[in-house]
Amino acid sequence: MKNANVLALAGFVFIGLLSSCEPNNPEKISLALHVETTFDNAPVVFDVSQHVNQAGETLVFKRLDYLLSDFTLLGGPNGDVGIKGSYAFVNAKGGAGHLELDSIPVGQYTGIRFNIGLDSMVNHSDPSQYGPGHPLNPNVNRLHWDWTGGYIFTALEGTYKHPGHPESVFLYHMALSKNKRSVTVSFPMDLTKRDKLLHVDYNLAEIFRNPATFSIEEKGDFSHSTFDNGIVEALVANMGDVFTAKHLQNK
Amino acid sequence: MNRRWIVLASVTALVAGIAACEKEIGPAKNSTPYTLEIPMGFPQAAPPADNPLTVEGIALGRMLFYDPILSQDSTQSCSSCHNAEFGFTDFGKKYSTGIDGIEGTRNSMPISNLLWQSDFFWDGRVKRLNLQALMPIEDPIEMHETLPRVVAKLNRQPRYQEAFRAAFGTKKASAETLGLALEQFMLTFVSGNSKFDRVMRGTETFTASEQRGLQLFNGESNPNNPVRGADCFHCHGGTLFSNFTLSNNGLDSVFTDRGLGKVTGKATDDGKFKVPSLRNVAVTFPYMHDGRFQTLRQAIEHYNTDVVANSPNLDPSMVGFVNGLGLTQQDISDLIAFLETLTDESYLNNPAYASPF
Repeated sequence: MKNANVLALAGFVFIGLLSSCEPNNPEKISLALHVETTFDNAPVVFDVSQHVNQAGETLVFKRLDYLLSDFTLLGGPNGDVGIKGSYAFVNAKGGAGHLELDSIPVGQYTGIRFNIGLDSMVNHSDPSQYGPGHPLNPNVNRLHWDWTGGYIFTALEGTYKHPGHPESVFLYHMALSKNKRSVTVSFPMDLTKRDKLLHVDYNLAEIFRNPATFSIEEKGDFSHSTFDNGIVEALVANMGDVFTAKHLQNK
Repeated sequence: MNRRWIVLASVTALVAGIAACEKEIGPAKNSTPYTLEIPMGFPQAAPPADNPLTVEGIALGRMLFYDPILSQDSTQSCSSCHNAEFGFTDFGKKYSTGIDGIEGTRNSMPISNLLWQSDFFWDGRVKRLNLQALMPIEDPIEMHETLPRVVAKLNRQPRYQEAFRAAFGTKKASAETLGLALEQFMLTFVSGNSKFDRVMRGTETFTASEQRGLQLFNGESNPNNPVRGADCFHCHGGTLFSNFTLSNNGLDSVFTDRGLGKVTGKATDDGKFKVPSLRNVAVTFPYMHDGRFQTLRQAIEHYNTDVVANSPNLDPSMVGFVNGLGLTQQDISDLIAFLETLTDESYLNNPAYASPF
């Protein structure tokens, strides 16, 4: 029997996890993740705060929505612990992200790994199968895209001003299965005694510099993931270190 | 304070106050649960947990929707400005006129598939349909009535006493149950049987013009893409043909109506209005929040050539529009042909949505 053993709803983040149904077990523990959107430690206030990227462009962010999937706790006492069928939708403008992973075997862990985006099978699954609160329900995430036959994995939108140029808008809709990005957040976690809350930053500055400087003016200010001269490929390549663990606390 | 804000504040306070004073509202013990049929391909959705649909609740909401008793002088009902044959809009009028002969400033919004929506009115100022339903009653330029007086009028009528008892287990109407009943009825407004839907189900086929219109609709405006696109899908994509956000689509450089900005008080929200669904769009003319475009061709011409690049808070999705889409007149005709396939005659003429009187 399968059931939804975790359904966390906080702010504008919707997470649904499906895993084996098990009774309450003192040998299991839960880990919550709380995601804050920053730009090099400065809080991002959507529509308002200005940030300067590596290329010297002044940015105002208006939208950052993304889908995460396939969470795995790393380096546990019996190896990695994958949580099959785990998905999260993050609407960064709507509030801080928050998700919960339940039924984790107690132990010391070295980090967590997950995907930004979805595997091909899920990406092209029938979106009408997902329940009203499920992260992959198109009415929840507003990221399903008939045009590509799948989901937008990350929607990043805003305005930019390149030095000497007028302000303009930018829009990057990162889609297509080939643009799924696995990320690893390394952080020692003692999950032996109490349920824990891990604070994680999503640092938007990384997308514009690491490993390659991304100038909106030079690369292009919009992409829907096709016919874009490699814009989305370059952005996804810079997303490996956007997530950073900050600290772990008891819940 | 703007009079519409006074209405919003008073409706919210009244409903909250009544809710606090009375026992918990819910469906009558012997009411009949109603299961809403979700069209194939639509996202799953559920009615509000505190207002499960019942046959009796929907029937009451239907009576209320069509009864001019809701207005001060008993001359206007909800249906006066929301006519089913026009996609529940106001007979093609640019603005609606209230009971005192005062004309509004925004176009009557089309009503369909509200189950999937959470921002109501063009400026998104209400987040729940049961509250939205009450506001035109107290709006001084619409029905210009008060909720206590409406409730008193309803409570004097035996047929409403019976209808409220059947729906909510008490013959005594309240502002809260009035809103819940109207919400139930309007949540049944599901449009998902247009030619487009039948083509998607494989029972019909598009004409060549409609098919090309669909391709333009879902195509991006991208100079690198050899196939021309009209970029409609960004805001009007998916089976609901809207992302239901509040966005500035580049109509003006200076706003006479701040839209969402008036609601939030933020300049960064100025010029943002709700993206309407395009289902039944051929019959919901005129277009835009202020009804400035009489025809679909005029509306498409705006996107093709007239998007104001320096419009404050222009939605980033409009980035492909600011230099023009380059659509030909034939392209526009094909787009219109496709949009006309979104007309759902079975919705517009559904007897379940017609007046019960």
